[in-house]
Amino acid sequence: MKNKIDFSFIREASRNELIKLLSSIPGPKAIVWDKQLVGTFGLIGDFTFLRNYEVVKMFYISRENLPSNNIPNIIFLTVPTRNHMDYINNQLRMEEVHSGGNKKDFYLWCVPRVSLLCEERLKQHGVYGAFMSIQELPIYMYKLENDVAMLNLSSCFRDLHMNKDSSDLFFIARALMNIQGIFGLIPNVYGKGSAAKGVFDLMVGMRRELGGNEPQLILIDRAVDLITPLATQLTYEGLIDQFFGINNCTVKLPSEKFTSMNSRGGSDSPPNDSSSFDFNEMKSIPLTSADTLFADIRDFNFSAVGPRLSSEAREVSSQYEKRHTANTVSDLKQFVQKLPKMQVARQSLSTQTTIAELVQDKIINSDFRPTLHAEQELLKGSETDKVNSFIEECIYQKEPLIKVLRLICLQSIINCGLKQRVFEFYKREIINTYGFEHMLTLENLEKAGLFTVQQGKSTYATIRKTLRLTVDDVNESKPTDVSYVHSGYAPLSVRLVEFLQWPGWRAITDVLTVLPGPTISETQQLPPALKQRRGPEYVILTTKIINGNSFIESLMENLEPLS
Amino acid sequence: MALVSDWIQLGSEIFYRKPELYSMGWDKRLNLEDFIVAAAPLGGPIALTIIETKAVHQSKSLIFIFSASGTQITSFKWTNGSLVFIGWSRNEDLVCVQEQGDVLIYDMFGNYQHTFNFGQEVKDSFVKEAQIFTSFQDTGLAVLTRANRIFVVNSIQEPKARKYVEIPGNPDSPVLSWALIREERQTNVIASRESRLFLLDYQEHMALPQNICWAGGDERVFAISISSNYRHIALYTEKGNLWIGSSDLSTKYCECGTGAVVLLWDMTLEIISVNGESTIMYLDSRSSLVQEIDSVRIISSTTHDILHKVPRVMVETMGIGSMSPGALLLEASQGYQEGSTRATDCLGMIKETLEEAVTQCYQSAQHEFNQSIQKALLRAALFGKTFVPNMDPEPCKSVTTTLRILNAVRNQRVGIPITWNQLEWMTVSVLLDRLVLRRLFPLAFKIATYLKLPDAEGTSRVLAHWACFKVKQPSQKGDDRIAQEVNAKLGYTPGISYTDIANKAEQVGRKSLAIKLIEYECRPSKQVPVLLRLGEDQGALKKALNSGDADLIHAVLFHLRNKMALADFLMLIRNFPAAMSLHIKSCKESDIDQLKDIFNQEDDFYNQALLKISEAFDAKRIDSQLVSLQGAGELFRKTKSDFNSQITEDQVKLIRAQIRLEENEQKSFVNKSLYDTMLQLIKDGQIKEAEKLKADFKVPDKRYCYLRVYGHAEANHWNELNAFSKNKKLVIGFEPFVDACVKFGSTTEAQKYLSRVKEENKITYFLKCDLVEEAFRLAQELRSASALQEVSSSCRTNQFLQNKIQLIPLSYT
Repeated sequence: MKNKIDFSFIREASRNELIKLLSSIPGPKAIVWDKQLVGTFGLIGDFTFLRNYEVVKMFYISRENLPSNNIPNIIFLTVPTRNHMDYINNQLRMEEVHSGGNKKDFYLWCVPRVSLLCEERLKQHGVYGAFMSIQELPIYMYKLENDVAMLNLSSCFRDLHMNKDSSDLFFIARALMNIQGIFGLIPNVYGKGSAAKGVFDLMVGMRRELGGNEPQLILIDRAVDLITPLATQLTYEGLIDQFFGINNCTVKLPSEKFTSMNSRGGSDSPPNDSSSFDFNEMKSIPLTSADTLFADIRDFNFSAVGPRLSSEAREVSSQYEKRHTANTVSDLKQFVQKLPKMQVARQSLSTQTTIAELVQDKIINSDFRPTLHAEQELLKGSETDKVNSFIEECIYQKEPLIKVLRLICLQSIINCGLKQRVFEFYKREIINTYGFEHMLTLENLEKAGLFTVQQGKSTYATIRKTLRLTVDDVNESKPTDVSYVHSGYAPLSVRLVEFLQWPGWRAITDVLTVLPGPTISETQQLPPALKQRRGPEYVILTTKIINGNSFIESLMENLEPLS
Repeated sequence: MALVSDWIQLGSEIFYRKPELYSMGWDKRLNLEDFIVAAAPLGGPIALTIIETKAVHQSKSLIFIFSASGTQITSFKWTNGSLVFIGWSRNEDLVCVQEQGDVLIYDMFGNYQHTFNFGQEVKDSFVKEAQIFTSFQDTGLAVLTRANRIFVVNSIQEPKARKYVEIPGNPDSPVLSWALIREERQTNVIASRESRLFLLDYQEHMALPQNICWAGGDERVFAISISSNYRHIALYTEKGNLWIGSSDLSTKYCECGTGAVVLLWDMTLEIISVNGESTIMYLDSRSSLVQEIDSVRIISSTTHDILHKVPRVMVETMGIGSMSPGALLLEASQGYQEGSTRATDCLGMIKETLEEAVTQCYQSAQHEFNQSIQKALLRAALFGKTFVPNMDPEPCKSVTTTLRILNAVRNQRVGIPITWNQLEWMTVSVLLDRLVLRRLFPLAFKIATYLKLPDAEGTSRVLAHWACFKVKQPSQKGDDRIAQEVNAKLGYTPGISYTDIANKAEQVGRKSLAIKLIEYECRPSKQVPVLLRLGEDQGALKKALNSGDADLIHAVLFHLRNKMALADFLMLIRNFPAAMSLHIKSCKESDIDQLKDIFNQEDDFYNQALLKISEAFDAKRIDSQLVSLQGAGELFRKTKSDFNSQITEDQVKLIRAQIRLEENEQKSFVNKSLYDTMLQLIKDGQIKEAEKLKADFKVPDKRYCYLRVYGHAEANHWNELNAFSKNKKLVIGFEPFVDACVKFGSTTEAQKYLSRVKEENKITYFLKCDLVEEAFRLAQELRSASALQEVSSSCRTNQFLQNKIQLIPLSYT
């Protein structure tokens, strides 16, 4: 199915911006990377691409001095944060000292834009004038799939709901304006949550500033649906993310699991390996829809992955078997022609099978199942007002803190805050078990509304019932409802979108009023001729792809106890 | 043909004509003889001022400014010393030079713009004459002093006086005539003194003598004139000889060329072609000449005429007896209107050349001033075009469009008499500027709309200029009203910059109007800096906050922070929670002390407490850590957050206990959590100490039991574990015993407690201890399908058992 909106343009546009800057500097150059950006920029171009523009070395922005080098142009590529400016100041000064008589040219490129605070910081350090130029690399969005893009704003939720800093909304609105600039004004805008409203208001303002068919825009504030990220995803891709972490469409797995395959296939080198980056024992495996088998099974409930992989295995081997039946020359020729395709298929099958085995290992050799069970009980809303014995047990066992926090937050959200007694019990147990240094993390979670004392009656029952958040008879292998992704729980945000399509949000006003934040339902003017009914196709723009772990981590405060 | 009756022949096939542009609007009794007349080129305004005779040396006089059609624009009093020269710059500013080398510049409405002077030397020696010229990029000005030295500035915008080399000659003999020649970026001067001619080269700093062979021996050059494009020169001598040639004086024109020289004596005008042919015209009154790129305008007391060479195409189309296709088409068209057969006759003759005929007709119309003749020619062109269906209609259309514009601006009321060629040379965009300069906003707007110019260079630009003019005008209306009027006209058209308009208002000192106007700016990035400059701090902050652009907000905060005392600053931003949180966030990153101040000022004990906690973890020494934590505890208490206060104080208590333990045990305890500390003690067999902590910190019994079980198991103190299992105070089941034993490596130990595990958990715990057979047996006894499933899934590799399970009938519940 071809989408009307294809995010491929994002990659092209970003590449062009990058090329524009790269080609403005003649001669060999080194890029000193902001670590967070390396992976993301892999989505734009790999090292070979950069090499074409005479990028000969890559380093990291860090406390350390740059390795000695004789490259005349040094480019610092970073998001504008204060810390990075401090590091850059240091690295630049040391580089000036070390380079001796050879004068080097320094450049600073900020993604997506230069910020005043950083400029001020550089001025304070007195290195502001040391750069040949300070430029913006206006990349606001990154394409993950043709229908999924992200803004790479990893602290968006933390800033919004903990620091009450809504700066990121500006970037979101900008990105949406960019999309509308290319595909036309989006006539229908729906949304839920205060951040959604914020984005919409900014967009309206920007439209006036820019002077500016039928798609709809649905803006959902993460604060409206805190439950879903905390629940464990049970799709194939979701589990890979849960156990190993997928970043920028790439997962890193122990390479020894794949060695045998390498000697056989040998052609699946990771996309952006480069000289200075050593991923040790880990192998980067790209996970995108470019791999047809992965595209096929990524959204399968994990229980359906095994059967699918075996049938694929049978298919592949039967293809190979055909060589025995190839009697005539033309049969043989046909077979040989198919060979490369078959090899790719076999390669991909073997990779996915290995990954699936790794996932399976994790499921068996951990307390994954009891945790899932506890989580599903919570999602059903049962006994959320008491201390949960499973969580208690986890704390006793000093299970990883993130896991414990995930469950406690889930309980707190579903119960609309915990009873004072329960809240204090958890808090004290966590501090007594994991240490006082987590005090601030708990404060953060409280500010963000994830771990709170109960304010009023729980509305979860209403929401669950109206939106059919939990479904009992889930068909995991042939799903008919989105609840299959959590084996019984349907993501709240997805349900909101579904209900918007049919029967419309008017039918669920009781839910909309109990969910936090204002509701947007605006129609931007468009001639009626452009409106036509068809099954909806969705494209998604997100600030960052998250899972329960990364979500909680983003809110944690890292205090090092005195040693 | 009547059309050509005013043509004057000058040699064969070359005609000149002098149609009247305007009957002058000024008082017809005005005697131009009494005035210095300065008319700006390209149909610009005319300035008049009374000639000062030496006898009546007055330093006060009136300067009048008229449009080219004689409508008075303004008049003002000149009080700046003896006026030597007036002239117009390229931007239609009036340049006045006085005796001492001071130059004052006014706009066409007599508003003073700026001034500069030629320096001390000129001041001392006095200006005798001045000339204005077009330099490389701007308008230049040159003066000749009474000491016969020439000074030049190449740009009146950025005046820098350059002194030219002395003109050789007897000090008593005056410079007879001089002119400026531009060569690339350089300006040179040609000057005549005595009977010699010199080129003053500025770069080389030399006076190069120029040798011209006059037929009758040396001649003194009395007048020098240079063509508009600086390519041709004409010299007029004492004995009445005229020399016409290229401006470098190397070539004397003899035959070719298209230009001509116009000489004016009193009321006689002589036109001399480069071939030397000449003709004379008599004028009605004293007149003044204005040199244009393609013509000469003649301004007299009563009329304003234009003298120009009749273009070839007009000669062909309208000349007497012409049989060119254009002429015949014109004839045909007239015949057609009269219903005469002449139409078909003529058309028949140009069947093959109709296209050329059409072209000739509309091209002739381009150069015509008389509107009825323009119409006749265009009508003929359109008539002809109907017979050439495939002809490109564009040129004809564009001629019609452009003529309408030309006619509109030539109108008596507007008074910009430009020719087709001049318009092409100056471009429509410049024409719009000139209209705007004359405050003819509606006309400019209409032209822009009519030509469908892009908004940015057309209507928006005009409107923006209008608005800028509007805000500069003194008015009785309130600022609100003016701002509203501007907004009503301009709306939010793309390309309109309210910032520019507000800046204009600010420039003329109307700050409150500027504030009202900037309100309409829709680009916050432009709007906010203006507001800050205008001192509208709150407004700027509000707009920045609305924009959602964090960088802009920081810019405002930064500005305010630098400008105000901290207390005032905080007082201001506390009204803006979003700004406050942004400020707090940036303080968190960079300025903890300020953050403390903020929380102090706000009496925000809670956040002060949290800050203390971070501080405690940054502390390098344990005692300062304790101090910070104690502080945090007290602050929590102030906010009635007793629970937090208690756990913080507990932490202090814990650290103290840990310090004590460290001293006793010679082991590290500090910064372990309470339970880790207790666990360590249990592992070390220090049960008493552990129980002391349990009592001090009110650890729940259940929790304590777990710690005991896990502590003993981890230390492999199986006997202690066993002893503990017999403890009467045991509040946990035996499952944790099994778990702990398995976890720390002894299934044998684990099995000791299996029998006391609750029935419903037994199968699971059998499996944990790898007692698969027992689990299977129990599941079989229970006849439970789910239990069997559990057994089966945990021993996938045990084929023997799997087979057994397969054999069990499905009748289990």
